[in-house]
Amino acid sequence: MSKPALLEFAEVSKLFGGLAVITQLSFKVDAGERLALIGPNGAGKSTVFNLISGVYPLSAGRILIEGKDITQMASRRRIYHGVSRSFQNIRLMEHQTAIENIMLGQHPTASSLSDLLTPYRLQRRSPWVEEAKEALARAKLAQYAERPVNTLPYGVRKRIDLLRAVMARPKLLLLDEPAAGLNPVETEELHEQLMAIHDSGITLLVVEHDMHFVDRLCTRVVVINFGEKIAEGTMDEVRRDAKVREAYLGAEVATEASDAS
Amino acid sequence: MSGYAEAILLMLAINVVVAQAGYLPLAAGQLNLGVAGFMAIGAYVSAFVTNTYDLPIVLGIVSGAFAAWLVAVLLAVPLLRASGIYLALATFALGQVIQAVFLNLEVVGAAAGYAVKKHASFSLIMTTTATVLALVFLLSRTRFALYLTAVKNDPVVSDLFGINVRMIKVQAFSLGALIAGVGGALYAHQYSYLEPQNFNILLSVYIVLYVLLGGTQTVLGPILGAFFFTLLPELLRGSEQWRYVVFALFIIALMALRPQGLITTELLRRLTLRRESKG
Repeated sequence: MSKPALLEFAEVSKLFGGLAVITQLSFKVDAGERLALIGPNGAGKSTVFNLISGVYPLSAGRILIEGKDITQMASRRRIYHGVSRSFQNIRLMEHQTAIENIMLGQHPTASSLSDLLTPYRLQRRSPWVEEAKEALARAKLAQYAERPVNTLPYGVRKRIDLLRAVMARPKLLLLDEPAAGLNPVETEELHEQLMAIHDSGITLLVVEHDMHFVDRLCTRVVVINFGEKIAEGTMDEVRRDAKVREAYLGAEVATEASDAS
Repeated sequence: MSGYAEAILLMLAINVVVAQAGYLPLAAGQLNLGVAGFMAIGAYVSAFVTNTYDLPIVLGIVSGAFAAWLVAVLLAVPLLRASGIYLALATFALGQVIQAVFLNLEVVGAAAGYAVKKHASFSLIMTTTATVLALVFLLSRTRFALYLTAVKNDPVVSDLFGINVRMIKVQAFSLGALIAGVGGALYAHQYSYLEPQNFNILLSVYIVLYVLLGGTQTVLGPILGAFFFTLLPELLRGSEQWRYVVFALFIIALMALRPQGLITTELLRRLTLRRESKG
């Protein structure tokens, strides 16, 4: 018997009121992959993330992690099964330091009662603070360690949000538009950081609009539109797909474009 | 020490304790307007057990604190389904209900009031205050304190990182009540006479003001707030008619000029950095 996929989305549907946002969507993410989920605005990409992390309940279908059904599992428990995520609109504790924000990501590995009540801030060298500092140093963000995050530039905050998600040592990391709003230098740094995260054994599932970034980072792409899967394959394959062209460019332009080529 | 100075110090100690009772829930984003109710439970229970069973005052304080904590834990689950202004209203109502219960409870004198036989010494009140402050300070150095901030800041993100948001909320609420119970018991054994009207909504509002004006980000903030609120009316005694006007203007000015409270983590960080760079 072959090993089950790390993540399996099995005929998942999601309705908000009467509105179908996701319809019969199925796809798999294998361990070690770098998979992108792309689609035009409003295609339902963020909803997919919110379904995986349990922010919303499903209307139909199942979600499996390593063959285990997590459809009914409380959102709080999912990180203990290896699912962690970053947020599109950076959701950090604004008045706390970079270290304290990253420490939130350590919770799944430090969740006993004694961890909760250890006065770590009185310890000369708290292992948690040291670990957070090392993570910041590896990301070349050491100089921001003690600063409250609301005083930091956008790109730095974005990467602290990412570090926090990695700190939970997930098997599957969900990245919601990691490159949005970054300048070319920051985007390049992000690419390197994500490749390093992947090399440490973490599978990546990315929602992203920057196609150049996706092309370089990801090995496989799933394209959705109006909550349905319209294509799947390598970037080159989906780029040639008529349905994908139509979704992105509109029907007429797509026909003209394929006539011209 | 003069009797006046001692009386002021004792009032200050009790106010500093109850300021922490308001601070813990606020650190988790809960505006508790029923702190006076939990003080009343601590006061009456401690007074009753020391009067009736001749227990030492320390055991009275422990019983009062435990009773306030127990009531908070039992009520936390239904209460904390509400949040924001609705939680504030619910705790306000709870404070009124507790006050009304004591107003009708014959065993502790009802509306006529209840005499407390055992009087706490100056040193007992100071030791208890120091113990409460030390424990709250220790707690503020832990992950628990970090999670209070996380839950206040963004409960959804906290939940996705595996934090039991409801548990943290219940703990913040009930630990606040426990400390209020301690403060109430100290009050009982200091002033020796309890009346339900002592624990009215105005007291709860004052406690919240200690915290808000002192600052909700640090343990030091509420302490300073309590100092400010206890000492300023005394300092203004020179002008008896006008002191409450001046006092109210002070509050308005503080809220306008420093809405985040007197003490913030940023302020403390700057002060410690300056000390380090000097040294």
